[in-house]
Amino acid sequence: MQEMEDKLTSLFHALFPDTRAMRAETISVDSVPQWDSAAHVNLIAAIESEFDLFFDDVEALLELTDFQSVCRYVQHALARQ
Amino acid sequence: MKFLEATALAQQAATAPTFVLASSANLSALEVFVAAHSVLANSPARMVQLPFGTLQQHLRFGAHDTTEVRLLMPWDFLPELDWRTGIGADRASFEDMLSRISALESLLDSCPGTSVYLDCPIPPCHHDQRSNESLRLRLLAAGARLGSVLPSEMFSLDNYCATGSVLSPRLLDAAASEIVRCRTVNAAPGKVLVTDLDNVMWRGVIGEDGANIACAPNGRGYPHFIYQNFLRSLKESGVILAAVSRNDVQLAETGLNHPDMTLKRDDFVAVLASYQPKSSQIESLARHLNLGLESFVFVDDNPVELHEVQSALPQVTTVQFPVSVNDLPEFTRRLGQLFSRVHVTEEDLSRTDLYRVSLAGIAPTQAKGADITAFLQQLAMRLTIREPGPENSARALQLINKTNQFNLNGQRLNIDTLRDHFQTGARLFTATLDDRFGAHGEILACLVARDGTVETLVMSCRVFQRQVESAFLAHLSQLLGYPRFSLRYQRTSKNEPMLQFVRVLLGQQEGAPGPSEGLIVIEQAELSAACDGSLMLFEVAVQ
Repeated sequence: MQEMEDKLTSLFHALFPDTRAMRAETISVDSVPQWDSAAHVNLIAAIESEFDLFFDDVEALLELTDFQSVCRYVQHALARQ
Repeated sequence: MKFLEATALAQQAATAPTFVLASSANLSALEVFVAAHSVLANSPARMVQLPFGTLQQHLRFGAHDTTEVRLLMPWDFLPELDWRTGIGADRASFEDMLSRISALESLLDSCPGTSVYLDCPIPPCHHDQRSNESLRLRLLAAGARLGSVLPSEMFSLDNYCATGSVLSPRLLDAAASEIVRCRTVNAAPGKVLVTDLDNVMWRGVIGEDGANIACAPNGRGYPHFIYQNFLRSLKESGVILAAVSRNDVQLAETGLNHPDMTLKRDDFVAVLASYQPKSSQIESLARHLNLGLESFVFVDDNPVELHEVQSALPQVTTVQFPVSVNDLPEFTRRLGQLFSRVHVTEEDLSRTDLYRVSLAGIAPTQAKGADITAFLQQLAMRLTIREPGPENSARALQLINKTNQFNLNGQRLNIDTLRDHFQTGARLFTATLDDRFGAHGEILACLVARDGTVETLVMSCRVFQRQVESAFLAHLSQLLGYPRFSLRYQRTSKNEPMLQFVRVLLGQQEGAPGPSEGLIVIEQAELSAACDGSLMLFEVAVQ
């Protein structure tokens, strides 16, 4: 769990450099200007690549608008494997 | 490679030059993987994309350079094949589609740079399914001719519909690797192919098998016959061939003059045969040819040699000669890609002759190779030492009687002479080796007389470069506890590799004259200094 969260944090840091100075619970679409719809696509691709996951529920992915919800989603996806 | 690993590598390309990756799709998720693979390929670069929706204008009116790569989909040739537009009611004829494919193909032919085609499935736009199949194959053929093809698994319709990205996220790494490969090869195709000889040019070891090496079109010679034919065709397209071998020059030449050889001695600009590390021989060749190492490709069957060259000369591309004949098509395809050229000039055709003249008489260099200790550690080598009695000595006798190169004195033994030795208190030891690449079987035999004199020591050339011989002697010395070892050494016409080892034991420099024959006495401390380091590379078991 901690390892997953650490990886996810590094992944956010790589994609959105502003998040390096932020606490995890404050990271969201509203607080990170670079997190637009194009960046969201890259975020999902990075998560799929890093965790070897395949997401097919596009609707659910669009609801991932903050770090905590991404974390929960990845955790569930990994548990389902 | 996963995203975070790619991110770390990509940092090394942060200030590298850029190249255009032109596509109608959004490829920004690919950026970090492309940068990472360019770092791995020793040619750091960052990709930049065209503004969205400008591919067609770029192809017709844009500026292109040789580093440009275009990632193309079926709908770049025929817009009505785009899944996102649905399957159009207003269909063009099959012939019209073919002519539009040809038109874009000609346009792309005239643009510098290279193309990579993503073999996406296409929507069934014709009622006649045969037309749909032919259309897909026609597009695939255009893609292959223009550069390279990414397999259909890399396309994700789900991802494309949802986000406009065409590549499956889990295969971004593989796609980036292929794009970088195409860019590198297109910018600098291979010029020199350096090939190993034993078990590559022919089946067998010239120093052991002599005239019995096989390279004729039958049985076990087939893969080598095919390889030689392929090299001949590369040579005809202007590729320079050179041979490198851990052998005496005369031995290598004997092999190259074998009547079954398709290639002849003169097809090679140089035959580098010595016991020096292959990396230093290749480096010396590059200097003499005045060609950059990045245009060199090195083929060998031995992963240890490949690693040595790769470590010392990272610019050189290394390719392993296949273990299984079934892997030969993929092997030749890969080599073909590395030397791919569209036009062959007059100069290409006569290049070998030009270079061979200027290289006449280049001497093998005396130089250090790469330190491959770290690599050997990763091999997880297990050495199992046994002491078979006369009844179990068949394999040991076979090894003693057929090994020429790593042979202490060339002395042959049969079961009767071996029994005589046993009667006087001698002990026979054998060793088998296993590592990450598999089981190598019984590869060493050693007969030690009662007074500690090593009467016989042979090792299979299959496991050269792994420091097995040093580890074995170090272990044997601990096992037997003699204060000193005597080796009954005799120089023969073929045991140069043993001479190299004796020099190591005696702490002599390369090229020192070395002993010719007689008893060589090595004190425990000397042996320890020369061999204990090697012992650390092995897990040793005594059975």
